[in-house]
Amino acid sequence: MSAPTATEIQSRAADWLLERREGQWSDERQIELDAWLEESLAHRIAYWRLDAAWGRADLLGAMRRPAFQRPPVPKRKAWPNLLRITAAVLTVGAVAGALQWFEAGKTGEKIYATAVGERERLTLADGSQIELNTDTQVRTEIAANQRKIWLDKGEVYFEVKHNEKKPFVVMVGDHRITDIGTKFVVRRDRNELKVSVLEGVVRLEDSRTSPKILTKGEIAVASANRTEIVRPSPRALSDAMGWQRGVLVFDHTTLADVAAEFNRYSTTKIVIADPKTASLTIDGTFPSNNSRAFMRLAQAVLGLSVDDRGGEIVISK
Amino acid sequence: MVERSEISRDDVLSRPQSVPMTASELEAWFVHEVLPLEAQLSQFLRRSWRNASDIPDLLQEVYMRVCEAAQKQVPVPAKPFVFAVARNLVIDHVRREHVVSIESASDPDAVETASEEPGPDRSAIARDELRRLEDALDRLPPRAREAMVMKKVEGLSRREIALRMGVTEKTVKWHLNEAVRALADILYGPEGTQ
Repeated sequence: MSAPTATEIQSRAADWLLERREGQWSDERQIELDAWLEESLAHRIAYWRLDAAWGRADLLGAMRRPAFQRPPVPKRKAWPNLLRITAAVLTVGAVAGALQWFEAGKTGEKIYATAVGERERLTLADGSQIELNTDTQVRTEIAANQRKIWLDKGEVYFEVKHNEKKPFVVMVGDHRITDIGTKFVVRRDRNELKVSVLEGVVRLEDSRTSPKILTKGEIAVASANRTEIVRPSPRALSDAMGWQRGVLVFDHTTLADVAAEFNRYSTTKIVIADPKTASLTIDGTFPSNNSRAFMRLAQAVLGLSVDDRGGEIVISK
Repeated sequence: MVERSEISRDDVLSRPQSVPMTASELEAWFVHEVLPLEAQLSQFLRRSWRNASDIPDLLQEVYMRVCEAAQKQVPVPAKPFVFAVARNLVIDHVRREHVVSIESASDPDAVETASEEPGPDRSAIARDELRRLEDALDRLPPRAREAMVMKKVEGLSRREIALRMGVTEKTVKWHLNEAVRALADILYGPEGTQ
């Protein structure tokens, strides 16, 4: 019988380590572990090494621990009216500009919205930053033990200020996205939810399937009955964030998708007349608030006809 | 219980060298002085030994020889000693197996040493460490990573993880086992230096 390999010893050591750290640890098990460690220096070394690595990873939990249990519904304190008004005024001051803001019926709940073509960045009461893309509405509730945001429509970039005692949760329909300390983007379209993680880790869950953990560089696309996780190239991910710089980046994108994308940013809608034209693809970077550069390209390079009918622009062969 | 945190690196290094170390002193010395060399050490072994699948066993053997020696007398500084042990081990194996690798004699001192600048402040260290851990997390196999995040970040029990992942506790145990080992390889091994 040959001696166990290093890998076998490590695997055994990992089992011991996990069991010992699991919590249900008894004196009897400790005696057995001690005996195993005593058996050979190789056992001890393997155990020390894994224990050191596992111990280092404790930092992950210490620095970013979201509450697992669904947090209790926060007790709605009747805030003194004066305090409430002051808070409201401060918030309005912070989000000047085109952004609409109003305080909803519930205490502490606020609604922020952008119109078509607008973009707005703001700082929430907890110090987290969010940026609303075109035609977007969120409701926020920053309570004592929980930070909650409902994305009613549109697209939002989140840069969450970490606070392990107050998990940051984004609700989209029946999906729930919990930040584990990070930067991420959530986009809600009619039939689809898209979560892109730029930094850190987030958890995506719904009522039907097991939670998905998304890490940096991953995008989850969730529709009614399935969730798909992809890892695009860093370039593609940064292109998808072009809206923060006011641009739309296309890479072999069909005209149908290009039109849909521009239409998010303008009340003048682009219509592609026929399926054949719609399936042509283009590359390029265009200002999101101005589809004229794209029209020129369509006319000059693709040789398409562009018909501005006022309120609607029809592109055809 | 193994009490490790009480013994600092300075305690170990400032003790009289002739006195044998206790088990926990040896552990502290191993974790602080030897483990950080693992990346360079496995790089050296990889270059000196053709068969990559032997590396974990060679590494274990180096560690055993180093710790056996350290039990009697702590080598200060640790690094030259560890690499001398590694070189001798490779030479032993080459002789035993009559396999001559061109690089077997490669000089461990030529292995580039990480610059050892005086330490940045603690918060910078913590940030770097967190970034390293996040990278490590990124590189774990997906299911192992998922289990590890639930365990470490969310502090769930094995049973809770099993429920959430929709698998048996035994499978969770297996994923976590893989995660622990991969994590150590990434944090200490050549993976961690990329």
